[in-house]
Amino acid sequence: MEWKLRLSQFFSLVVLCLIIFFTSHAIDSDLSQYHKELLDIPAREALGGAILGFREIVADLLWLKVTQWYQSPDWSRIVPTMKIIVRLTPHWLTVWKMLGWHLAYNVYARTKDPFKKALLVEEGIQVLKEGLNKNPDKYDLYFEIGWTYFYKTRDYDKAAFYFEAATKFPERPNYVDHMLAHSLERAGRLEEALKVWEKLYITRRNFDKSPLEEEIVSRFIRRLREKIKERETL
Amino acid sequence: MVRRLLVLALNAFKEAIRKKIVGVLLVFALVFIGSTNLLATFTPEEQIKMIQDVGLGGILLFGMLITVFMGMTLIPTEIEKRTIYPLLSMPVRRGEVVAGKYLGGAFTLLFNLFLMTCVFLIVLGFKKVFNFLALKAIFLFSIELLLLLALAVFFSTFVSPTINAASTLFIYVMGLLSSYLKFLGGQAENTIIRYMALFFYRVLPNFQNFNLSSQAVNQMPIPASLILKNVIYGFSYIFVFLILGVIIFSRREV
Amino acid sequence: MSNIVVSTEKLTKVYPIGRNQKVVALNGLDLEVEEGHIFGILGPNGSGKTTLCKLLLGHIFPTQGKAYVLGKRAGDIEAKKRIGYLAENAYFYEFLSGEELLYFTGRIFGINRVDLSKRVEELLDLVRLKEARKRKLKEYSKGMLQRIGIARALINDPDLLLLDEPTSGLDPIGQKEMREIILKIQERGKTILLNSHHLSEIGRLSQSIVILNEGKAVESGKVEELLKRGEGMKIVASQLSKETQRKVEKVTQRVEKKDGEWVIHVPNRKISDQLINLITSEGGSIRRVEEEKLTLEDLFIEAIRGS
Repeated sequence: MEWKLRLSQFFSLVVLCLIIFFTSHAIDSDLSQYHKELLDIPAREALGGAILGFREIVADLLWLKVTQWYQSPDWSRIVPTMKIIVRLTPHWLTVWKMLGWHLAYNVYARTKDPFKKALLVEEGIQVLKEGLNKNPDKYDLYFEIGWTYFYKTRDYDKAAFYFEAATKFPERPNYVDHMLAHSLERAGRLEEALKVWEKLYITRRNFDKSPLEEEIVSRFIRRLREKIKERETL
Repeated sequence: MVRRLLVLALNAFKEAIRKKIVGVLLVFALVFIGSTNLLATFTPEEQIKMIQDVGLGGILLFGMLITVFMGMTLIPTEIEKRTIYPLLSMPVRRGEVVAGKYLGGAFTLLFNLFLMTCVFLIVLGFKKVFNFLALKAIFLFSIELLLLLALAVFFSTFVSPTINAASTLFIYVMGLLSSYLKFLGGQAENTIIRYMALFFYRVLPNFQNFNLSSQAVNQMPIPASLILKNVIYGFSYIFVFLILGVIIFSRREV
Repeated sequence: MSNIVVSTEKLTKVYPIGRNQKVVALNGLDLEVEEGHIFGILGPNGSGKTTLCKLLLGHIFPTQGKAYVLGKRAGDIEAKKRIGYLAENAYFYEFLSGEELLYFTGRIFGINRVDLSKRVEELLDLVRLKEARKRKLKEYSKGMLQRIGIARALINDPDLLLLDEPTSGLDPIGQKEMREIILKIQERGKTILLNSHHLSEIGRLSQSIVILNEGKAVESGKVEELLKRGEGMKIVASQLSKETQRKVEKVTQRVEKKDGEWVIHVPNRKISDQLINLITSEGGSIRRVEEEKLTLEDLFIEAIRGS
């Protein structure tokens, strides 16, 4: 009887080990991105608590420091710290947005060298693209990249590309579509811009949420139609 | 057997829930999680994120401490206090003692997690927020901690409480580092070290797999299939540790 | 022929201690306990009494040999269903009340709710703990713990009861009550294994005993028969010539010289009379003649010294 028990225990262990082996592989493939993020965390922060599963808390504490330094503002500490935060918690969109913004706008504004200014804008965009890579399922960073191209580099075609990508997300606010239309208009693609406004008007998207939305959309439709007519006349 | 298991489990629950250390840790946990409401930050959005981060982190940290301190004494206390003698003189198999103790510890752990989760939800409720993903994350925490408890019960069948605590915590930390083990193994030039690293990566439970609080707080999807895989993974390890514990305890002289 | 409830065949237990060192706690013990008997286990500290109990209950495992309890190998679950056990210095879950302990034990034994309820009432009454039933065990005195312990051991109406120092910690009244309980149980045909230091207790209660020393059985059998061996006469004589001494020693080996007198032990009155005649006829002097009865203490000491 005892040998039967031992045999059943042995077989149970073998079966369980096989289950563990296969599920481990399956989970690894599901969480491969997540495991890569863990390896990306700087050593000090990793040892400081990220390892124990508290990387979000470590990120929050660093963010509190950033908000404190923002009072001065101490950019030499703010930017590197924010870079650590996004490695700790790559899905915290606010930090990616703020980092891209700080580089392309705030640090840019405080820099006198035009060459360095250009590099900062480029760095801001690269940071946002890195964030987008890690968060492709949200509209936010598509929008931020589009915004930076629109206002800082005035590359309206690239801006339109990213705004259009942002419009694929149903949860986006209407201003995303507005910015797409504006980019297309500035890029000289008037018909495409008109289509965007008309689509908003036909679908009455979020008209109930904002009382001015219908008026704004109607105004831009009228304006674009006149512009197209003018261009055809010329 | 089921009846005996439940009787033993209920008794183990009654014993564990009365342990002072468990009570103290639970109180600290509830105060810690409750006080996240006082976090003052830049924007309400950030405050909600921090409440969730700190709340979930607190649930995991205190849950882990409760698990280790409770699990390390479940069986040694019986032997130390000599209540094992009347227990084993009854028609109870050694394996039933191990399983019953584990179940009792599991009930205690889940009860504590439930209380911590309630406080967490109440704090979020004050901010008029409900995050269903956080509940998924807490569910996975519970699997993680049940696995940790099984590990502690396994060790308690043959080592003293102090060595048990140290060993359990060591394996827990190594389990959290297992992604690094795999990475280091991949980088190693020496074949033996590479295979050893891979071996430990496969053998040690990867506790990081259960920590999806980052995804929960940042509203990333946590698919049901991933949860199911983690449940199967976790429970397989639990059964492995319990079976090993039963084998060891069956041969142990008291 | 009555059933054998407990038997051991060359039962040996060796404990390793440190490197290449060991302690032989039991050494080839052969034992049989008949059904319906109270069987006493005697021996000095370290003789193997507790080891024997632990082996019979399956708390530890034999190094060699076998042990059988109620027809099954020692430690078998089926056998345990019919065993009741009271450990020395009973240890129970402090957080339970006396009543809760009995219910817990009863549920482990699989006794149904109705029967269990009745049984708990009976046992609390038997051990006089009805008033203290709701108090936590940590508030019980030593005597109360012993009493709840015996109640716990009886919850399943066992066929075999193992009692390890059952009167430990009890006052004289408590000890008397415990003895009465034990006898009542035995009257119902149960078998009791009694492990105790108290020779008088063992002597009063046991039908059979085994005396252990250094892991071996140095004496065993029915108490009555063992004590009968030591019955006889004691002759105290003086002024015995060498020739007379020789003749006396031919009759009995049990001759001691003490303070100038000869103390001669003989098994019965007939031989005693013969020797008295011999001594007086050869010029010796008879100081006194006494009847001798062997006590359990004498038997115990003789057995231990002899081994």
